[in-house]
Amino acid sequence: MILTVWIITVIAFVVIQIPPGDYVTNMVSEMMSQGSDRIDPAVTQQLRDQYGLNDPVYVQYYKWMKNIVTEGNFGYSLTFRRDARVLILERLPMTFLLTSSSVLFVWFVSLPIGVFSAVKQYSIWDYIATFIGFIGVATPNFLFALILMYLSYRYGGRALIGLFSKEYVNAPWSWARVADLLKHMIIPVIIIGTSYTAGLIRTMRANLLDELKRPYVDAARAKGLPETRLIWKYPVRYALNPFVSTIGWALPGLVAGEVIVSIVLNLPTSGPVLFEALKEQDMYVAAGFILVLSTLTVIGTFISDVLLVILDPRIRLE
Amino acid sequence: MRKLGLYFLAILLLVSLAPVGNIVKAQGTYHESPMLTALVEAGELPPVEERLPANPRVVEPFKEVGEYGGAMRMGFVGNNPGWGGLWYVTGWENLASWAPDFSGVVPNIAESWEVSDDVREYTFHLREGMKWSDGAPFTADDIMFYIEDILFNEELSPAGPSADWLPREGAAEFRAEKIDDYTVKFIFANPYGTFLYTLPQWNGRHITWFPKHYLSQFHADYNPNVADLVAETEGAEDWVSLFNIKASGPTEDTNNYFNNLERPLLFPWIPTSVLGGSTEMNMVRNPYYFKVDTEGNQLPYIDEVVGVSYQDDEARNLALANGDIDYIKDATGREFFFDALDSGAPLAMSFWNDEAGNTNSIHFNFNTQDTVLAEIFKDINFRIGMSHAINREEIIEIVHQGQGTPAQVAPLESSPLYNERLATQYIEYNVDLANEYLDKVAPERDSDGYRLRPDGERLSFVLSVPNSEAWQANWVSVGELLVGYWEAVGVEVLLDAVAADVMTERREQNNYEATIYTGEGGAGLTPILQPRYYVPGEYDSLFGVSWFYWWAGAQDAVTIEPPQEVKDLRLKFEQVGQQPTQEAQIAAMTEVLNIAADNFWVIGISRPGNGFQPYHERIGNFPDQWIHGWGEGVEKITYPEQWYLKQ
Amino acid sequence: MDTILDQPETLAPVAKNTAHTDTEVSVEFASQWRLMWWKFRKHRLAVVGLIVVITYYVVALFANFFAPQSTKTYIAEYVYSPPQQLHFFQDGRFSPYVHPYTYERDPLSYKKIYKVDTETIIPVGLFVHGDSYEVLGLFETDLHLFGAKEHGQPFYLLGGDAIGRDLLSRTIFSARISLVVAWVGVSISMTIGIILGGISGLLGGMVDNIIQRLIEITMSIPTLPIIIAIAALVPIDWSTLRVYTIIVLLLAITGWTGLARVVRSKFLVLREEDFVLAARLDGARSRRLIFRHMLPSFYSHIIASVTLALPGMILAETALSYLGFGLRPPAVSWGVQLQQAQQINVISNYPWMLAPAIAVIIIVLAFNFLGDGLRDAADPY
Repeated sequence: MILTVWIITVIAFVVIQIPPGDYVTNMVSEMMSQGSDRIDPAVTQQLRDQYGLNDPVYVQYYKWMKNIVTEGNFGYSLTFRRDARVLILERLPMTFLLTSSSVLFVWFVSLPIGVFSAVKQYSIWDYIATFIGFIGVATPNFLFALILMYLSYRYGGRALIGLFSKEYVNAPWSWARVADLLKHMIIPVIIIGTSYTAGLIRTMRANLLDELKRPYVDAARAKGLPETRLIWKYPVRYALNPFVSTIGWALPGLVAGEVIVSIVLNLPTSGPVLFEALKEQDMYVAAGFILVLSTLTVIGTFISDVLLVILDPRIRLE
Repeated sequence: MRKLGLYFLAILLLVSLAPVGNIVKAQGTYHESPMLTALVEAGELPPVEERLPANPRVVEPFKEVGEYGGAMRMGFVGNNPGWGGLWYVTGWENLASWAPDFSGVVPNIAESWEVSDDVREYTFHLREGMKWSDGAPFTADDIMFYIEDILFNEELSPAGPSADWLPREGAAEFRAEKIDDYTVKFIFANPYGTFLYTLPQWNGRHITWFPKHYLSQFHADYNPNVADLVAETEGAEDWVSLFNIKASGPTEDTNNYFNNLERPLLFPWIPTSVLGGSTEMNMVRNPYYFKVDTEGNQLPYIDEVVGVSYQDDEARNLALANGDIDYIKDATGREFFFDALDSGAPLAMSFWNDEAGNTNSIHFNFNTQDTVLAEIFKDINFRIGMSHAINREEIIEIVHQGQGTPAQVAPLESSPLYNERLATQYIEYNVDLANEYLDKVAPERDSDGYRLRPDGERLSFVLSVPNSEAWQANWVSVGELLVGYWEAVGVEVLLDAVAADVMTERREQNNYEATIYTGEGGAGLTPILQPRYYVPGEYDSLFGVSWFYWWAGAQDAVTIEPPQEVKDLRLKFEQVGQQPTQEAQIAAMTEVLNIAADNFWVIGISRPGNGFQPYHERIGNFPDQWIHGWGEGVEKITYPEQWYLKQ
Repeated sequence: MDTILDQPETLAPVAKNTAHTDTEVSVEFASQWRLMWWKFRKHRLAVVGLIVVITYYVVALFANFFAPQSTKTYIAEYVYSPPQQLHFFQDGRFSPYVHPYTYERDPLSYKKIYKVDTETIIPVGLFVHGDSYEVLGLFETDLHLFGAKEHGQPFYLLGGDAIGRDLLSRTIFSARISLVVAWVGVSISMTIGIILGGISGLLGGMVDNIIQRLIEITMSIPTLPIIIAIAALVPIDWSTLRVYTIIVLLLAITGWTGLARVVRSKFLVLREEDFVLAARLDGARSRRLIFRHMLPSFYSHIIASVTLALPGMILAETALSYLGFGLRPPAVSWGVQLQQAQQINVISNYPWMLAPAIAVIIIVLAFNFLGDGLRDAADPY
């Protein structure tokens, strides 16, 4: 697992450096486009020295890794002029809250719809349930978010932007603040969640239909087991296998979906910071986020493997 | 709006170089914000009379004397509060400033000045008793610190003395003298008649930017133990980078001061929290700010400023319409905001006149890597033909909502530098005429009707259009229409819409064929201050950006030595700045503009229509009309320190 | 098998009866494909989905014919014009027509206020002559399925866009890029996913371990930095479509992992199944084992994944455009069109600019339902 994370960081670090230019190029071009039309070559050289950008990639990587391992120091954000770790830690809790709420939402919606539409295959209810489950995935996320934001402004009196009302942004935690947060989380959770329900509904439905065709189900039915119990006891349990596999990949998937929704709705999560850092080549912030997120993903994958074994004893743990 | 245009006819012709109209208040009649009174009573602050200079700058409120208090919320896009808009509203105090109607340069941090007859020597008188935001005195020593220990320090300025306000020619011979604690004399190697115009602008910011009492601890000449500070500072490699981080200059981005809360400033508001990973940052009034209104009330009126970060323009627009925030820079969506205004959103609307001489400039890269293409681009007949092929009325109707008139990139009619030939040549939409000119360049055509280059290949080029910023939003539409017009005269154009930062890379690599950009340099004397489309060798002279890099001596970019006539023109332009009187400057610039008209460097589309600025209705003293442009200081010319929040 | 499922009575009796009769008559002799078709058509939404998908592809292929105008034709006076109402009867006779617009400009907001000019009539018809185009590079024609009878008359059934082009025509043309590119991406990622997932699940051990790590790594690297890097690297003279194809390939190369994991977990289970054990004892070789015995047993899953991935690509195209790293004008795709609609100003004043979104929603739903039906039909027994 550590090996995996290490390879990811190497790849991430290299990929971030692929685009021509670096943070200094970006900064200089911004300063120049703002009218400061005098940047001497010696000055850019000096800036690169200052930020350590003149070192070869592997030296930069070595320094970065060494500082993380020895001091827990994730490097320095060139955009924010502060410790990248602080920045990452500030944004992670909200990201985690948002994505885990979305995962729960996805499960709550797609598990029942999936079972229901498998059991009631081809009924009008199957169609309706499937349709509802799928409409979310069919709508482009950014547009969905933009339209809901606009509608909340036009017809709800106030646009729901961000995760807090302005009174609560920097307020200490209180019940009122929690309530405010919950109110603001509804739209993003629905938008992020609905883009994943369809996939899970289908997976659940497909697996359950596969299971329902197995001889043991016929046998159980022949023995007179009540239908509900019959379905929930084994078929649903086995059908859950691929469902469980989703824990691992749900995180990066949701984080990716979260980037766009967070940009549109102005949510204080990691997505927009990562996106900006990538665009501005603020290397250590970008690489730090990728490191943390990939570590979480690897852990998630591991958990889903373990759960898979617990749920289905037919799989041996090698 | 026309009326406003006429109003600016007078501007800068009447520039007064001598300070006027400062009403000196008798001691003891100053007033302050209740917020500060509380601090004074608690013994945490000296009384207002001691905080203000002996002769504070008096600002006449635009509409009425305002009320103290309140927190103004300002929305910005991205993670840099300064560039997002706060610099223009809460910062930008230089030695001099523009008069609110842009009619001239008026004293600001400097109380007054004298200029020698040969315009080589400038003597500035500072305000006695003026203080930094931490209460330390601001004196001539701070300016001398900048000149001697920063500008002329070999480590901080490795390329020799270099500053935006200092002409490259003769920079090393520049000298400054401290006459007394409140008097400084600048002595330039050559005559420098346009120096005063530099002062209110961005280029003049560094002169009063460096607090000696705070920064000397980070300077190796003053602190032998500076290495200790380097070691304990995140991101600092040596004392030079430490100094840059702490000072936000000289080479560091000025707007990084928003990340350094302990740095003393001369601005109306000072940051009290950094943005970091949060979505808001806070600023509070500077208790030592050096301006008062006509009744002796210390400015600013507004106690606090909250900067609210947005990731995207749309959320920010909605937040303003919502009333969540009070002000945004560069609002987009005119119809939406007027609708919101009509339907009762808590908004007010102001109009501004664009400083620019044109909505767009079209550049053919004379140095493009394809040498055959470059030769065609350099042929003026090609550019004349391409210009006649453009249906400007149609672009105005489609893209600019019917506002504006066809024109080339040129000073506005209201400017003393107006040049009719430059503004109106080749603007007629005439396909036959276009073909006539293009036939002189590439008469042969292929079977599809496209013209052939001398080497037998199809005459085809890529038009790169940056379109990632809000202010570039309609450029692609212009580009798409241009492609159609030019196809009609047998020139194949491939439209390539790119992100602005990709375009920056391509500038440096000289890797573009043709592009679209802005049209600055229209109002008053701004053609001298923003000569980018009249004189090659500016950063945005995109018809020859590699020439600019050659002059700048850039290492990271492709540099191409300009031909002699371009060098001569550049020299001619530099002489404009050396003229002692305004008349002489205008005469010299007129010559330069005539050469620009002969060369027809860039193609223009139309004069800009009026702009709009929505703001929260509770903001008072915001002008109903103003002149808007980078050289004018954008929001700064509206004197945000005299805005107030209606209770 | 149907017996265990609660067949609802609400199904249309005709369809049900026919299906039933067919089955009864020839079920023993029916080929597998026929069985699949019988099964498939029971899923009503899937049948609708199939029709929609076929329609989209036909329209996309002959976009020039179906679209009333070319992608470049514009009328300056019809910038952001609202959709025209189509009238069918004129003086009691069937003779479809639309009215043109006149407009005034609001002096403050500069918004155009359009008025229907009921005095003037623009006759509309089928098989009209309009902008000329080439059919499959073979011959040139100017025939369009429908449009204004007189070439050049304003005909804007879905309204006009920011520079006065017909939104309907552009939405039709968009289908070309958006649909084709999706197929390319999906076929690549599916191939990789099935092969690697299969090998991993079947062989196990060291190979499994390596592939598992590969999957983890690929899944954990956000695609964003890769896309940004590529967008900055491509040469200036590349067409945007080519740039986009590269990005799609990257999405494909990073998008195979989901299926690989699913395939692998299926294999892990199947490996223990009796029939595989039997085949293995019989001495069947690995490749034969995979393709003849194991893969068919979860065709359904692969098909489900393919149909889910296709709309995913279509949506990814629009999302990339939003972030500014997708296709850019003058390319015509749904993403490019929606990029112009993603402003509050447009949504509030010119909501018809969202028409491409409806096209996207419909095709994505159709793919999803089609996938469901195919999935059910893949196992007809």
